[in-house]
Formats: sequence, structure tokens, C-alpha cells
Amino acid sequence: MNPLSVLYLAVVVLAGTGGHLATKHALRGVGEVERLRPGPILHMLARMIRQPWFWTGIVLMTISFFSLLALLAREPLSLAVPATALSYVVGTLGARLLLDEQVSTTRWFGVLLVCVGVTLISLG
Amino acid sequence: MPSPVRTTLSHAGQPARLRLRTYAFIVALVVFSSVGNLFLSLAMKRIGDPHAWTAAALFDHLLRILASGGIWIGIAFQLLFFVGYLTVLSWADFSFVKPSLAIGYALVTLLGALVLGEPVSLLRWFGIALICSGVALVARTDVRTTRS
Repeated sequence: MNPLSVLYLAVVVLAGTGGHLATKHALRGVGEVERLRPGPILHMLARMIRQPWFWTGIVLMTISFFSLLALLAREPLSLAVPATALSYVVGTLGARLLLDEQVSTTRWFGVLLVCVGVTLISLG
Repeated sequence: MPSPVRTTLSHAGQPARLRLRTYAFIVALVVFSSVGNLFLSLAMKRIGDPHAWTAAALFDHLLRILASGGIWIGIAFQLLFFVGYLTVLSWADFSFVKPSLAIGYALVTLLGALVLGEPVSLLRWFGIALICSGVALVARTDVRTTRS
């Protein structure tokens, strides 16, 4: 695989995961939806679109998407597989390091099983 | 000797309601996303490729996409997914929600096999089994481990 493809792949995984982590971080400034009614959910959305981290997340996800398109233009679709599978591990690592989530051994083991399972599915 | 307590900033034992609510959201999100993708995929297959790669042909192609009801149903489901995703993330860990959503692979494979009669390879069934085991493990952990 040529270096440019590796770079695209890294951007797909890192920008995509970073986008989701930024979105989750933005929700901390918004607060929890406690009552599941349209009102509180709309209120959450209204506060969300005023969070800089939310828009940071959207930009990162957009970069990831276009990088995926660039990757697919030069490599076979099967190369998107490691991107999908890796995002589970990278996402969990990011949540631990950047968002301070407590990832127990049980959760780590679950994430690894999911990662391997997703890889197998894409191969089969 | 008592095993060291792994402090996960216990939220007074995480009320069962929060856990059940999170499970319900994961299931609903997986359904929204799969149904949305199904509509988008069916609609795009019917529309097919653009006739030519000229500006006029591409514009015509875009109009045909926008005129398709299936596309809008698909987009509506994707939108529903996104709003639900933000809602569940407003209380649940990202490292809980993200791997849990992988259960969608099992749903799509099962639906494909049962409804459309698609053949499923042994390797794929094995992958599904691993994903289900992984999600079952993640589901046993605390839904939220940080202060809100």
C-alpha cells in the first residue's frame, strides 16, 4: 500500500473518531436529556448547535468522509475494513484519554471482540 | 483479601432505569440506521449511475435522486438516528455506545438471511457471534462513568 493511502486511512480513522469524541465533549456543555419528550430533545439540539465543539466534530467528520472517498478512489473497498474495525479501538482509547471515561477490563475485552468480529464480517 | 474496588464514579449504583433506557436507545438506533440504509440503497439502485459525466447529466441525476421518495425516507431515518444518537450520548459513555451499536451488524445479517434469503458464510456467522459476545460484555459495564 502506498504512503498516500496510509495517510488517507489514518485521516479516516483519526478524524472520524475525533469528530465523534468532539461531539460527545460538546454534549457535556449541553447537559443530559432527562425527560424523553420532544421539548427537552429539541432544547438539547438548540443548545448543541451553539457549541463550538459540536461544529469541530462536524468538520472532523466531514474531513474523514472526504478522505474515505479519496481512499476509495485509489484502493479497493476492502481497505475501508481496517478503518471501520480500528475505529472501535481508537474510539475507546480516545474516550479513555480525552474524555476521562473509565474503561474497565470487561469493556476493553468487549471492544476487542467487536473489533475482531467486524473484521471477520468484512472478510466473509 | 477483598479485590480492589474499581471506582467508576458510581452514580448511586446507576439506576436500572438509565440502563434500560440506554439499551432501548441502542436497539432503536440500530433499527433506524439499518432501515435508513436499506431505503437509501434500494432507491440508489433503482436510480443507477448518471448517464454521462457532464454537468447537465449530473444535474439531471441529482434531480432524479431528489425526486425519489425512498431517498427522503432514508434521510428521515438517518436524521432520526442522529438525533437519537446525540440524545443517548447526552448521558451515556461514548465507549459504551460506540461498541454497542455494532450489534447492528447482527441485525442486518439476520434480516438478510431470514427476509431476503441471502446466503451467509460461516466466517460471517463467526464474526456475528464475536460481535454479540463483545456487545454483551460492554452491556454489563456502567452506562456512564463520568460526572455529568
